[in-house]
Amino acid sequence: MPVRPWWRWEQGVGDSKDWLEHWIKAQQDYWSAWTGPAGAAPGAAADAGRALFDRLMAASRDYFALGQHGLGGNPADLEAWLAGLGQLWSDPARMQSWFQPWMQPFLAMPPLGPGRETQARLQELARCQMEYLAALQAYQAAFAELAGATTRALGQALMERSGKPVASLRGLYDLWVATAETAYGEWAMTPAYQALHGRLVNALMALKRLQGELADQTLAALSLPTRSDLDSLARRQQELSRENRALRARLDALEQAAQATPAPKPPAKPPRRRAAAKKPD
Amino acid sequence: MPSLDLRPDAILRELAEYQAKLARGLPNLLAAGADAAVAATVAAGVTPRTEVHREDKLTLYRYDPDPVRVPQPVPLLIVHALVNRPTMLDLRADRSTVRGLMATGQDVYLIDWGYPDRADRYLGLDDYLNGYLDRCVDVVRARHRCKRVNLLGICQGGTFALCYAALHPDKVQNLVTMVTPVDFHTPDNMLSHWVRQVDVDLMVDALGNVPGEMLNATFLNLKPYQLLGQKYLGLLDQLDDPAALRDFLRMERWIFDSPDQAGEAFRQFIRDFYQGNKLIRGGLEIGAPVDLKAITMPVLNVYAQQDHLVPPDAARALGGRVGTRDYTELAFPGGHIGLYVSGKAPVAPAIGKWLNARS
Repeated sequence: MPVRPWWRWEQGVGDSKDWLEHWIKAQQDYWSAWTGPAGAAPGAAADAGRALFDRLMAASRDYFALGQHGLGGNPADLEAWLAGLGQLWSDPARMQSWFQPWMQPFLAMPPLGPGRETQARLQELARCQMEYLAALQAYQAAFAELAGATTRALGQALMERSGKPVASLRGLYDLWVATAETAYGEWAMTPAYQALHGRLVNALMALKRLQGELADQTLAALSLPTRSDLDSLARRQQELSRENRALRARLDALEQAAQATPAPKPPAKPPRRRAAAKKPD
Repeated sequence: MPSLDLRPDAILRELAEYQAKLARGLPNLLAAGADAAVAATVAAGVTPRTEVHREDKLTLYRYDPDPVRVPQPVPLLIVHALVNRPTMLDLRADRSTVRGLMATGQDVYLIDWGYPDRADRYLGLDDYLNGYLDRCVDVVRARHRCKRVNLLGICQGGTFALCYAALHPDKVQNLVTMVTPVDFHTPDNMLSHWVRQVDVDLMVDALGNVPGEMLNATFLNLKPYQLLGQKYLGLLDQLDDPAALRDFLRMERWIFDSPDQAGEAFRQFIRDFYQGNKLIRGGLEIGAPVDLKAITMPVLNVYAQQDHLVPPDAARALGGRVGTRDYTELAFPGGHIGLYVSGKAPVAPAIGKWLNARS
């Protein structure tokens, strides 16, 4: 029996372009089964799902097309392919904006079954991650605006400068630092920045807290000490330590009071009676 | 027209000069980096001292007095902040605040709070002030058979010293505060502005102890362009001078040698001081109510005029709020740290003179 080449998906697959077309068709058939009339998810989720699928397919098509060129051996094309790959997957905010509409209905789904606690935590984790990425995106966008403001401030400082002109790179750099620091200082004291900063820190802390709880869950399942176990011990140890010191201070005070109190005088002895003289017979 | 006269030949010459500076100075940098004395100085300072008391992570030191000179009868206890190491006061022999105080006749003690770890997670301000600090004061009083000590609080340590003096006025002879925040809600207080909308309970619940690296990053972001960029460009100008280079590296090591903050103490400090401003508004409780009017001993309040961490107004707010009539303010040029490492500001002699007049 001839050995069927295992690297060919089906008969007739020849060069890489045929392979790409076959692969894309297979993916389309698969997703159609989910989002087509027979298996449609209700309402907006289905539309959002189709939109997401279309985006992914368009991005993947470009990805594989570039890959084809790169594999053809042109270094410039290969570099463009790698850069495109990096752009596609390294922008978490962009990826989140693609996934978020599609994920929202699933995050809102009530947890069911024996694993409901874990499901609820994972849903909460996803919500925390999305909030953190949104807060980070807002923070970075604000810094991008600040960069423009500092550049404008430098330009204005150069226009308004009197005396010797800036004649060195170091001089220009120092002037940029001074003007940028001033612009930053003003912006960092605004209510808008306070809100951005608070949102970002709180979002990160909420995410870290939940990650800690999930880590504890895993450790507990492995019969290993968890952070909450250690915290409980530390809390009890601290309370015992305080109690111990309070008792010791009380004991010291009592000892000092006892030393300060004069010893009571012994009770006075009754006067000794002389024995009666013996009369002679 | 922009006031700019950048010529290509001048730019190239400048770049070549920087490159030559770097090449010349790199061996100095490598040698200074390998110098174990730099690390040792940051760890322990330059002035000999003796450990006199230890409790948990805390160590109380007495700086070895001059065997010839008779020190002042009332000893001086220095209380530093929790957020940095106290060795800043004694990094260089000719700029040591500790040596400067000893030169005026003070018998100097210092509390080293140590490096909190997870076991210290539930230490609160009551534990620090009415526990550790109070016991250190008692140790010093017992050693000198005196009823009261002089207290010098620096930065957050000054805030602690104020609270302690208000809670235990019978144990403090004279109180000195240096670059100490009292009003945390002055309009120019950037740190306070940033933490107003931070949920500190969530932060402490998530992190436990608050990492020193996180606080460092916050402090650096007060002046990011200077502290994250310009400072290191300026290092190029110091590479030729091994002594200046070692000073730079000592400072650098100290800046980033930041202990973690015990969770509960951090929670209370942020909530009650930075967010609630209770030292000014009232309602502060650390084991008992804290009232600045209970501070009836003489007070010297020292602050830096260009302090971006504790703006002058934040420190000057102490005036008129203490219960003593003997209140003195002293302002010096410089920044928050420059006040006690700069050779220009005669801070230690001024403090020593003020204390000697009242001991």
